[in-house]
Amino acid sequence: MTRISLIILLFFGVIFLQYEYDAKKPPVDFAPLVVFPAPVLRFADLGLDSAATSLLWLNSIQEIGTVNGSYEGLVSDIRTINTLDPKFAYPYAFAELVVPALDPSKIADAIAIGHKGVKDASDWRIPFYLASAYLIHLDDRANALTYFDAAARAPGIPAGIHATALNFGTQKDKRAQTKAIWTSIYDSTNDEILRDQAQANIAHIEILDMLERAVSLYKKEKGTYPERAEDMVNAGILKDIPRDPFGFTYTIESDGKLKSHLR
Amino acid sequence: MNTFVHNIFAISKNTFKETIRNKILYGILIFALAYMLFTLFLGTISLGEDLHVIRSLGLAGIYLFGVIITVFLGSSLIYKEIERKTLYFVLSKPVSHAHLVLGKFFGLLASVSVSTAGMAVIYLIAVAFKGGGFDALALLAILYQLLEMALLIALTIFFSTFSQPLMSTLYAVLVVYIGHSLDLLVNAVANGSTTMRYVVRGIYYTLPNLAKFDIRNLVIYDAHIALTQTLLVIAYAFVYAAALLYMAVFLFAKREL
Amino acid sequence: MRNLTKSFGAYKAVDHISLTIKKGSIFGFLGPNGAGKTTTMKMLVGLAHVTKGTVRIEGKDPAEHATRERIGFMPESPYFYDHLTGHEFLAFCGDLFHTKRNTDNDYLDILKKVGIFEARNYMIKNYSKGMKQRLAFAQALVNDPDYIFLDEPLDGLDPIGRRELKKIITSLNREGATIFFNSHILFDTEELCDEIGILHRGALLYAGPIRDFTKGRSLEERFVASIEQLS
Repeated sequence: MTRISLIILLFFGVIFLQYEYDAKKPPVDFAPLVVFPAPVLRFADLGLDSAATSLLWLNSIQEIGTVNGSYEGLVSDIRTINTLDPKFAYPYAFAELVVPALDPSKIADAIAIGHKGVKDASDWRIPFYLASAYLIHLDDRANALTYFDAAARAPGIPAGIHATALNFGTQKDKRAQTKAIWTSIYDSTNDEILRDQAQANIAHIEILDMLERAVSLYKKEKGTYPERAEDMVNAGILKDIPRDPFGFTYTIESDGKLKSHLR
Repeated sequence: MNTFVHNIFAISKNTFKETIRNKILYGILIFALAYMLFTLFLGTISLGEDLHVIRSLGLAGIYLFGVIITVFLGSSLIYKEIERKTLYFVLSKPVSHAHLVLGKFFGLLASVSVSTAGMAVIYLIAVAFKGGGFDALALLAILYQLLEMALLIALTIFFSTFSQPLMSTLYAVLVVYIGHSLDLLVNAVANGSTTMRYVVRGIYYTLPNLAKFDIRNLVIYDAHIALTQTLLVIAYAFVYAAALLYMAVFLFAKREL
Repeated sequence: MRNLTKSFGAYKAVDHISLTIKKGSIFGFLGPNGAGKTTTMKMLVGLAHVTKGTVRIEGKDPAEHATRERIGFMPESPYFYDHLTGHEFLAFCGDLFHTKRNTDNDYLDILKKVGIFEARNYMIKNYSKGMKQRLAFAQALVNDPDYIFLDEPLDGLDPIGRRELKKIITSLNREGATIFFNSHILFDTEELCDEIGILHRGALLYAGPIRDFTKGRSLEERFVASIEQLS
């Protein structure tokens, strides 16, 4: 009987120690899996490049979310994947939107990866996301236009998204256009990370829309603009202040326009 | 001529039965099945790139397990023949060394083909299950793989005529690695001395150049494979294997038993 | 055999043996372990290359296929393909001959004759040593050979098995087969052979009728005496 209890004790000891270790782990940077140049990998993988890059890809995306340091390693992994298997489309697309969202300082890398993707791989999402990245992170409407056009001409683009791409630049309401772009992105992928990002952006825009509508309603009813968002709640126009997915807070300008702040 | 075919057929039938009934082979195939199931799981965490992951890892798995099966069956068979002298029964009869070598070759090729076909079926089911339809191009990649395995079998038989069974296994594995990296080797010495470049060029042409048998990366992206390319690859495998087997027969006949 | 020699480098395994075996007789080849008996037999059946000298069966070289159609060979301490059944193995061996076509019944008969009929559908890896010995003997008979070469045929058999196989050997001889066997079991040799040959360290010490060698004493006595004489 004592033998069994000893075994159980040791087993629980192991579980406890693992738990403690996980809890006490210091903040990590994204550790790149590969530090070898592409020719070395090509030798090691016996020429099975597409399988090797699939594995690298799976490994890279596992760490996202658990990292609270720099994402330089992720960018380096994606670049390795792009070199080893230039036709593997999704990593390019993923890099264009998710990398700058995770680490805004990496926008230049993301754009560079995007350009390589447009050249070497054929998937309509690559130019589409590249255009979105130009628009959303760099406010570069000229490049966005170029690449939305390229995406519209790419084979395989779904009809609804094709319309969005084609109509870029023609719509007056920039916010609606951005929302349409994010909706397209949401529809274009099964990737949970990208979908979450798209959804957050859509929610953010919808909150802005809703707050602006509430502000006009307040003006109509009370004659003046509200000073703070809470005023609208007190006036019974809003049930409560919605939580912004990005953590923005809102103030209302004297002309009734909404301004968002990141604390 | 009839005796030639008859004896080779009898020996290959025997070799096939002997190798296909090996329990370890089934162990390896079960591993391959587990691996395929695992790739299905990996597909689900690939952020929407299920088919790409399943196809690329699946075909790579069929290749790696195929090489393991080929090298394992080949070397254990040759070991039995030479070390344990099962050849005495055969060669004391009106059977020539050529019959024996070719019979072993075709018997082993049959076993490897059947095992590979089994893995291919599992792969096709997995891909169809995930919505990829019938992956016909993958079958072409697997055909190329069988050509490579045939060459590998010829190589193992060739090595076994003059080296210990363990060493011939090691040589075979080494040749697989080098055979896939020959173009890297040529590139590596592109800026070297002229003699170096000529030496490497010589190696490039004499060692079996296996990269041509790998069209997996093309198949994943649905590229078109020209018929002339396929014919050239088949011819290369055939000629190289024939050369190896011819030398094997010659060395084998000279060998002391 | 004439001046038959087999060298491995500087080592002479078989040194200039000359002897003639009468057709239809039973010849026993004796000698201590390592004397060169197996090497000689391998040359007789075309398995080993002859370094010097000649060996002929009915005037023909056993290295040629046609000669081997009519011989049967049973190797010493046989190893088999483990994953075949006894029946399959026998059929495979029979398949390699071209002048005699066997039916399935022929194989079953041979299996019965050597006493492993019950085990015919079991895999060889499950056979005992005695059963493997009998199977090795069986495959030497598939082509109804005129010349049968047996290397330590009674090795590993129990007394009943030894008696059975000896009976088969004598009956084959009565049917006209010439039998040449290696042995170091002198008692059985005495029983079976018409003539014997004695090999020691590659050299032939004696070849001829058994009576002339024993001269009234037991074979074992005389054999040990001649070997010790040389050491």
